[in-house]
Amino acid sequence: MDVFRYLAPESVEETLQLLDEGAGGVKVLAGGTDLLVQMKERGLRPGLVLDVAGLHELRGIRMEGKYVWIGPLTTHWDLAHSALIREHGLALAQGASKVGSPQIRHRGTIGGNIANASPAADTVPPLVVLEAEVELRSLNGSHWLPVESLMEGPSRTALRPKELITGVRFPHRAPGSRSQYEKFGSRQALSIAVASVAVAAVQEKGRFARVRIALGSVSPTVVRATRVEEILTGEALGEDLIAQATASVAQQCRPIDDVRGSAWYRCQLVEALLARILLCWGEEWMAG
Amino acid sequence: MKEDSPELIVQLVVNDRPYRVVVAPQTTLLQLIRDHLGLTGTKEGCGKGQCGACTVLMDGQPVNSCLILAVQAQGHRIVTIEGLEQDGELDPVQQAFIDEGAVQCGFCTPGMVLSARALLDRLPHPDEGQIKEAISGHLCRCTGYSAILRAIRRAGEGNKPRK
Ligand SMILES: Cc1cc2nc3c(=O)[nH]c(=O)nc-3n(C[C@H](O)[C@H](O)[C@H](O)COP(=O)(O)OP(=O)(O)OC[C@H]3O[C@@H](n4cnc5c(N)ncnc54)[C@H](O)[C@@H]3O)c2cc1C
Ligand code: FES
Ligand code: FES
Repeated sequence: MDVFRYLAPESVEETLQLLDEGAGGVKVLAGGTDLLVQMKERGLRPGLVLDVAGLHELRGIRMEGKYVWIGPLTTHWDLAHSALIREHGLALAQGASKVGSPQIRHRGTIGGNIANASPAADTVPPLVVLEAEVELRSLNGSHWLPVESLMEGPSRTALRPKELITGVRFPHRAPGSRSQYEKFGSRQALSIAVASVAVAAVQEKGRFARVRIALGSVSPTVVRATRVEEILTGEALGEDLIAQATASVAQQCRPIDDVRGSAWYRCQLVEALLARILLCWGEEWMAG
Repeated sequence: MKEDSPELIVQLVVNDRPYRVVVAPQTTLLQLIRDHLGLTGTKEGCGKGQCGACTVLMDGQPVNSCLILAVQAQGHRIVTIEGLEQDGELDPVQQAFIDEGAVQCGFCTPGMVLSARALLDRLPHPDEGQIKEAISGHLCRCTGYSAILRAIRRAGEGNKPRK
């Protein structure tokens, strides 16, 4: 790695000040599991690295009004083990539990996963279906933005260089609602998703309502499968519906061929992952 | 705020001993441990989080020291493989690795042992799935893993959590 200046600001205010002064040459450092790889391997050379890991106000998981609030420095390990997250957003706990390895989960943070904006980021499809928002803060103020609108392209987000992610939140679980995340990688640990699917929905009198489906690794960004959401909405879960939904999900993808899988293979995978989630819910709905 | 200069001072505890080390901003925790402290039990394989050879415990949790800046260890408690033995007695995990023949070239062993130690501190009697999960961030090119799994199971059977 090349030389850089290192500072560990003592407050969010101070961080925002330094981001404002530094313009493009500054990089925020959280867990470092993306940033250090990029600096070692891909020639990323920030002039100044701002280590925010000591800012305790950016860590933690708690109820805040009608939301579950998550500090951006919360690690994947803590997300995966949080009773509050499992209760209100199971898909997010599942996504976090599938990141990298235990070592990576102990360091990698939800804020870093969002800001890095990989189409394969394991917390992003769950966050999108849970209707999560991120708080972006700069010296000029702060605003909440849906995670879905933040993603603009591979490694490209609506996050400005002077902004810091200072919070993540999603509405707490409505009665009858559930969520699930399924990932397929080439092996169980340390593999980036070849394809992934997250689904959240409410069951109202045996029928689907408020269905949200997000797909990972099959488009330049995580994408919603709105066509499939429409097919499911208002319907009762059954074999025909599952067949219809899985048959149309591939049309919502724009996958690429790469070393991890061909476009054709990724389409087959999203179909299978979606079917797996719906079949699993079907069994439970019918039993309950 | 920390000193804004090419030389930074890190104060940390390694294997229960306090250290004060002068490092460059780009020095990794792995370099601090190996080159500054001379504790060469911790290995570098890939340098990018994939192999687990550089694993150390940071505040009790296994982490990849190749992906942590040395300055980020400021104020933290690190345990390396050299810190497991107590009063000349090997840790039960180390002993089990020997007894089960779980060491061949040994390059993966320090990291594997530390991840196993952290697992047993958290879950004194892990099942097979939990053991596999705990070492899923480590690659071993020699053993085929079964002897390692046996060793960790064996250490778990006689386990009393430390401290
Ligand atoms: C071996 C390995 C395996 C991996 N496997 C997976 C995997 O299976 N799934 C997966 O999704 N990811 C995986 N990753 C990627 C990575 O671990 C995650 O994306 C992680 O969540 C990044 O978080 P971090 O805190 O380490 O980010 P950092 O590396 O600290 O930062 C990443 C980026 O986000 C920015 N940033 C961080 N925090 C903030 C903030 N609060 N505000 C604004 N910008 C911020 C940084 O400036 C930087 O650009 C893997 C990485 C490695 C090295
Ligand atoms: S050297 Fe750190 S994980 Fe391979
Ligand atoms: S013993 Fe050689 S890599 Fe594991």
